[in-house]
Amino acid sequence: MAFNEDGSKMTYRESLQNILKEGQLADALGIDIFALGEHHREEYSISSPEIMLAALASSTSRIKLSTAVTVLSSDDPVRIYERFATLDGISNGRAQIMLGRGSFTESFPLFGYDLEKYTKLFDEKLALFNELITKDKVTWSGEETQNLANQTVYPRIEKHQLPVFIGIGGTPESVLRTARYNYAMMIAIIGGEAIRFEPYIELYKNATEEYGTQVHQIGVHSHGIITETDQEAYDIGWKYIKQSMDKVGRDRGWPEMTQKRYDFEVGQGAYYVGSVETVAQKIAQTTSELGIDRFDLVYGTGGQLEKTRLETIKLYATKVIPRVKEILVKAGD
Amino acid sequence: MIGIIGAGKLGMTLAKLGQNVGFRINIAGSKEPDKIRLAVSVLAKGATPMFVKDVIKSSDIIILALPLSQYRQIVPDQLKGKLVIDAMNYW
Repeated sequence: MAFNEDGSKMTYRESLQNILKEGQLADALGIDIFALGEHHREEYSISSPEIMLAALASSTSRIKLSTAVTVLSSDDPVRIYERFATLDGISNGRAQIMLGRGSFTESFPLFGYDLEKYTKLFDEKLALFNELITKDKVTWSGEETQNLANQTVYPRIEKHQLPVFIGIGGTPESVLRTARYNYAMMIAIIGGEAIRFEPYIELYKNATEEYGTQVHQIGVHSHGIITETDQEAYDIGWKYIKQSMDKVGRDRGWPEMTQKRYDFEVGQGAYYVGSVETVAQKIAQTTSELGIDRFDLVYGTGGQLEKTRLETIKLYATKVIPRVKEILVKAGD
Repeated sequence: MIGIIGAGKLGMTLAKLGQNVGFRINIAGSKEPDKIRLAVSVLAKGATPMFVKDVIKSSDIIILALPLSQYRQIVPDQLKGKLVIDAMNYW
């Protein structure tokens, strides 16, 4: 949810319309992927990302359309398959899915699921989803899910070609699971140095060897703000990223973000906040240090103004991405 | 000797930090040790994966690092005489 310049909150309708325009802009400017999260909280307007992606499917031409993430534990794998098969059809094969346990827990009581079954729900639903995505007919007997007998779900995704990412936040079992199911991995880094996550990449690679599966794309997802000057981006982040983290922290018992912490995150940590050159250098560093294939910049955190959201997208597409590629080519990666 | 019950994000991080400063660490997940062998070998190299009961038996200090919703799995009698550090939280 963005705020208006006069400090008032946008309506949900305005926010949803703006996000569609942002997706269209990202497509027009050549960004590879537009990924939307699923949240069931006041400060977010998107609880149904696939509906947004469907609107974008018909108003964009080449950008890949993904969720980040679809909260699998509190959803129905059969309906997820149907929705993404539909999205894949209308977007002419541009759909991707990113599955995760989500970083919030509102969806459990909201849809009638028991939070105590957090792990079991995800495990079982991922197993069913994997059956649906890899087989034409599924026979399934579930405890937390439905029973199916030789069932085909429609529409079909052509040649089973829906890229599947699992979003992970540092739980070792999530990494193993991603490797076991032969999926791509997206690491959400919301704090700390990116290099700290290198062992998870090593674990993913070792696990694919052990399970006889393949190493698929590995990505990192972190917050960012890009403006003309470092100072401007710094100031925006100090207001909005702090606001957002402190709000979450109040629920989870984190202390408020100090300026020292913020400075660390902007300097060596997980915030890609600054001018084009600053952000490009940092993304290039993370990309080469971790050897990743994809970087997702999370924009707009904490209710940033629409003009900041648009500026971040424009500079990311037109200046940062080309510069990152240039730095990596020079470095020989 | 430090024992850690729970081999998730928290338990594994504590195991690694303990190893780094020279403690010997025993660690257990909710199932058999083999289930966490691979993760321990990368994320907390040198720590020893064990069953929960063996972690308790062989360690003087026990850190509880399991999800709060699973706390009933802990048998209080087994922890008699040990220094128990509760690192669980609501989240």
